[in-house]
Amino acid sequence: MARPLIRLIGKKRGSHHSVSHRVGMWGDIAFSVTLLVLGVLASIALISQALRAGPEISIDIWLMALVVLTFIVFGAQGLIRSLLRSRMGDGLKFSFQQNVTKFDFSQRMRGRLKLPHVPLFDTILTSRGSVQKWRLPMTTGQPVKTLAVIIFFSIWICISLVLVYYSISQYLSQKNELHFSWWLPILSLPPSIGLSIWAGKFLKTQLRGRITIDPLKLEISEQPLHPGHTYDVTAIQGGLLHVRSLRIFLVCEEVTSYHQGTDVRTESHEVIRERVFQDRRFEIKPNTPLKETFPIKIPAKAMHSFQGHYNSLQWKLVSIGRYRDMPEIQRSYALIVHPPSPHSLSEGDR
Amino acid sequence: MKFDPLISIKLNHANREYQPGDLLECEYQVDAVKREELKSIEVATMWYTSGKGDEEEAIHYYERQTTRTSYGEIDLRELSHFSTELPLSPLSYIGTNLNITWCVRVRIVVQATDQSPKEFKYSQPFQLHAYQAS
Amino acid sequence: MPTKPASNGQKINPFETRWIRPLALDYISSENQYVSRLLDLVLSSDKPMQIVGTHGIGKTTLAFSLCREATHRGTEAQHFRCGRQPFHEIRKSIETPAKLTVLDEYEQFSMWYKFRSRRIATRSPGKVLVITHQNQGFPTLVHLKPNPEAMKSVVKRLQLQQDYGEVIHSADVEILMAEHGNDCREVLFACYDLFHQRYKKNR
Repeated sequence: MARPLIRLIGKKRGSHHSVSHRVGMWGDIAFSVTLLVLGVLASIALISQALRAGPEISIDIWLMALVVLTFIVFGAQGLIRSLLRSRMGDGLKFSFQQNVTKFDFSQRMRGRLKLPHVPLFDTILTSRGSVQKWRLPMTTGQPVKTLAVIIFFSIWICISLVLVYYSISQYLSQKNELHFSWWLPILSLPPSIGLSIWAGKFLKTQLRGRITIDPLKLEISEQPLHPGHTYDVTAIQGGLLHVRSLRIFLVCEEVTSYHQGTDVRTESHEVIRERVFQDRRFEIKPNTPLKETFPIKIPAKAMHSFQGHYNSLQWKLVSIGRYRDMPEIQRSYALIVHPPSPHSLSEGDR
Repeated sequence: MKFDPLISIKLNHANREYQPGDLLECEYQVDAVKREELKSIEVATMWYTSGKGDEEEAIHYYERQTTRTSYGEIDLRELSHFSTELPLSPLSYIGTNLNITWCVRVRIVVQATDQSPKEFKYSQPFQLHAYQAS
Repeated sequence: MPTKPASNGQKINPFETRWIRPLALDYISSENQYVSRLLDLVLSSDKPMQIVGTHGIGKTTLAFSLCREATHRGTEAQHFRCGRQPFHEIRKSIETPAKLTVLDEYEQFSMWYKFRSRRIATRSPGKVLVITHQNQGFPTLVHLKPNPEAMKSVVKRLQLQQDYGEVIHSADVEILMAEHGNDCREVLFACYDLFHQRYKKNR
C-alpha cells in the first residue's frame, strides 16, 4: 500500500507526476494570485507616478506599464486556468453553460423533414452516459449573472485598492492635511470598502452551491422518448454533501411569447409536474457518490415536444436539492419526446 | 342584395379525424359568385397556433389556380379536388396557453367590375391524432 | 393533463391573442362617434398631431381604428412602426397629399429620424399622426386615460363574438383593472386565464 506522502518537489515522468495534484494546483493558484496582486499594485503606483509626471510621459513609464500589464494578464489567466482544473471547475463550467437546447444543429439534418417542428435528438452533440446510454444536457447555468457578479466584485476591489493607495500617498506628500486631495479619498474609503465587503458576501452567496458542489448529472436509457413508454434515469452526484432532500420532477411546460409594439411577454405554464424521485437526509461522500436509478413514464396520450418560432412545448426533468449550509439548487435537464410511430408502438417499454 | 361567395369544403373522413401518414382527400367548391368575378383560388392544408402567444402557422400543402391556364380560361367555381399525405407532426393539441389546430383553408379573390379585389377565406378544421396501438 | 387532441367542436377562448391584437379590435369609447370625430380633427389639422398614453392603454388600437375609418371614407391611410420599417417608405407616405400616415412607437426613432420626420411632416401636404408614450411636442389630439367602462364593453364584446354568455363579468374587469394598474393588455391576458379557469370548472 502506497504511503500518502505529500511531496513538495516532484518529477515529471512522461505524463505521470510524482507530486500531489492538489499541491500542484494550490501552488499554481498561489503563484497566479501573487503575480496578479503584484501587477495590480504596481499599476496603481505607475498610474500615480504618470499623473505626477504631467502631460509628457517618458518612455520608461510606458515600458514599465507593459511589464505590469503582462503580470496582470498572466496572473489572471493562470488563476482562471487553475480554478477550472480544480473541483470547483466543474461547477464553474456548468455555471457558464449556455442553454444547450438553443444550439439545435440537428435542424440541418435530413430527419428534420420527417418530424417538422419537433426537436430532433442529436447523437453527435449529446454526451454518452457512464451508466445509462445518454447524459442529459443541463439547461440552466445563468452565465451572465455569474459573470456579472464576479466583474462587479473585482471592480470594487480595484477601486478600494486604488483609493487606499492614493489616500496614503496624498497623506504622505501633502503638507496641508486639510487639503481636499487628502480628505476626499479618505472619506470615500469607508463606503468603498463597505461596498467591496458587501460585493464579496454577495458573490459568496451567489457562487455557493454553484461551484462548491458537483453538479447533479442525469443519464437516461434512451432518447428520444415516446408517449406510453417507461425509461430508466440514473442520478449521479459526487463530492462531500449533506443532503436534506433531493427531489426530481418530470415536467411538461408550454412556453409562449407575445410581441406587441415594444412589449415582449413570455409566459411558461406547466401542464404536467410529476415527482419521479425523492430522497431525504443522506450523505454523499467522495468514495460513496450518489448513484440512484428510477423509472419515468411518459403518459400514453401526452403531446410530443414542439418547437415553433414563438411557441413551444418542452419536456424536462427538474431537480430540486436542499443541502446543509447551502441555498436550494434547482436545475433543469431537457428531454425530447417524439410523437408515437408504428415502430415505437410495437417496441413497447424499454 | 348581394351575398358573399359560398365556399364549401368536404373531407374524405366524415369524423374529420386523421392519423399521421393518412391520405387527406378534399373536395371544394365556390358558389354564389359570377364566373368572371372569381379571379383566383388557393387551397392549403396547414396548421396554426392560438392561445396566449404570437400566432404562427405552417403550410403542409398548397395549390393555387387562376382563371387563365394553358388550355384557356377555366371556371374556378367547379368542384375541385386535391389529396395529400399528412405528416408525422405536429399533432393537434389543446392546451392551456397553446393550441395547435390543423385545417384545410380555401382563399378566393373576387373582383367585380369597377371594384377593388376582395378576399374571402373559409377553413375546415380537422384533427391529426397520434397513432393508436391496434 | 392536456392529452386530448383538438376536437371538431373546439371551444375557443375569446381572449386569445388573435382576437385582442390592436388590428383585430375596434376602439370602443363611452362617447358617440368618438373615432369619427377624432379623424375629422386629424384631417382638418394642418400640423402633425399626437396621441399620448401609457403602456397598454389602447393607443395602437385607436390608431388602427382611425386608419380603418379613414379608408372607409375613401382617404388613403397607412400605419408605420417607427424604427422597424425603412425611413424612405415613411417619408414617401408622409409626402403623399391627403394621405393619413400614422407613426406608431415614435420613441423608437433616433434623434436624427425624429428631426427629419418632424421637418418633412411640417412641410408636406399629407396628414401625420404620431403615437407616443410621452409628449413629443406636437399638438395633442387625445391623451388617453384608463376607461373602465370601455374596457367592460370590450370584454363583453369579445365573449359575444365567440357566442359565449358573460363568463367574465363587469365586476371582474374592475378588479383586474385595479390589479394591473389599468394596463388593458394585461387585463385581457388576465381575462384569458380567468375564462379558462371558469370555463373548465363549469364544464
